[in-house]
Amino acid sequence: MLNLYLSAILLGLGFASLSIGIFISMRIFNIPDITTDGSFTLGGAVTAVLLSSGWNGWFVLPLVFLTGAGAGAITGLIHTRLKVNALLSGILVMTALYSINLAIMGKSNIPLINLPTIFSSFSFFSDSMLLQLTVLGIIILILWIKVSWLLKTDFGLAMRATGNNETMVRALGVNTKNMKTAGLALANGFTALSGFLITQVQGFADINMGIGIVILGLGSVMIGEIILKLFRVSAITIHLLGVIGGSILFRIILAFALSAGIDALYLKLVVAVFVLLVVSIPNLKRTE
Amino acid sequence: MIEFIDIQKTYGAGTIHEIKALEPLNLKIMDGEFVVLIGSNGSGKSTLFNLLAGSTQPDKGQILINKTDISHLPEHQRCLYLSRIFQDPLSGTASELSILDNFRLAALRTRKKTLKIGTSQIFRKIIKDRIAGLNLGLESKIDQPVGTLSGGQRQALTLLMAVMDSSQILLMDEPTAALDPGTSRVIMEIAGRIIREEGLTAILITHQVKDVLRYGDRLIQMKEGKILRDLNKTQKQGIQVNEVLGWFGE
Repeated sequence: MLNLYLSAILLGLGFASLSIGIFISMRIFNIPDITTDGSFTLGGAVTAVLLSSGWNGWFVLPLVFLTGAGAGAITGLIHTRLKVNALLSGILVMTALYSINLAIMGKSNIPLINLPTIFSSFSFFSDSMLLQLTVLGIIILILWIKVSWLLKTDFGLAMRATGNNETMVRALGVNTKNMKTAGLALANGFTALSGFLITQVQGFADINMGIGIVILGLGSVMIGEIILKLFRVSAITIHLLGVIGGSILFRIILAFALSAGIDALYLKLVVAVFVLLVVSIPNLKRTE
Repeated sequence: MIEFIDIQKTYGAGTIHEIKALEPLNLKIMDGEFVVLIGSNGSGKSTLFNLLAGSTQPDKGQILINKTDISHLPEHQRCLYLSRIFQDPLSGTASELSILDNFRLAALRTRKKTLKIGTSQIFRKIIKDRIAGLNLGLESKIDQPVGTLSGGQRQALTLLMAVMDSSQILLMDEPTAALDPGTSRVIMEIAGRIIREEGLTAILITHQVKDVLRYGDRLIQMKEGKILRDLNKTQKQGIQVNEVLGWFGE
């Protein structure tokens, strides 16, 4: 039982990077970015193939981030330069990525049995679950610090203002097209990084691992925001912490649902209904 | 100096909805001049603004600022020369960012936004002092999201933000149209003071006759894409409220 919740936390940490990606695209830029489904799998595919061919996981990490960022940048360019609707741009790239991911993997599923991962490079705990938790915890902690810093820099302020008030930002000398492209690149870099982590936690990459993942990220972001509203905080650092917490909490809720006897077959349905609830409850209150 | 040379703009050219927003128009505005621009809706005032700020492109003609042709410069590069105050008091600030963060961006209007945290203690102090000058009591709220403030407070901040970085030209498109009379007066007083203190070249579009009489040292009336009246400071001084109201009926 305890194991179930520990592995939920583990997945929550792994998906926290995805949630930060969604936070950037959806919350900062107001763009519902479906590229996520494809770039998550892309991260997993690149990770599985490179680990299988003997690469060190720590060298794979920046590469995965860059490929994800590349996918996001393409969505951004299609949206800002070819003036295609943001949602459609994401769907186009996601669709294309399905073939690309399959080509990278060569088959629909790559197991990582007995292969060295980022976790196996450490041995400060003999218990593998505890070891993974620690390593993931440290990675997400570094990510939290880095992204918080980035969003507080002058560049980060311009980024946040772009999604908030484009007219103003343009009048303040920001090229909003480039800014959106950079933002989508960043978001998908984090999403791919999540694919990298989850692949190694699960021990395999699968061509379908990204399906519906964007909803998972959105759910995490919104759960985080509901918690933050209770505490009335608005600082960006805390906001990001809420997103990470939301990701973990979401996984715990799902673990609880599974342990309560819900068939794993209906997991995506449960996720969808749950996210719908989270999204709509604040709106229902407002109309009263 | 701002120069419009043979500027022409038509919307929906060749269709039955064709609107000549600006006939070939020539206009020179000197450095430090405060121009009040009036005219009924559709007279071309806003088109003139949008052309200058770069949010629309002219069909023909040139726009020069200090003898440099800016006609084809994209909007975000024109901020080197000008800052803009919009009619919607919410559109000059980013609501989810704090007052401090908004001012940080404004302070970088003509510069690159780099990977550096610029909201230092020194910067905080400068901003607090400047905001205290507005006498609105906002200096204690600089960490609050701007979205928690009223429209009037936001417009006042927008005005101050406009002069945070070296700028020469201030464009104001009905900056008080959405505000109540009391707040409007406060905002216009702040605007007038900032323009005087910073020695800005300013253009104000307004429908408020009182503001037409009180502010500016040149008055231009537009009609159907043309300049109908162009009065200098001395000519402007003798004008009465009724006179201005009468012009709109012509």
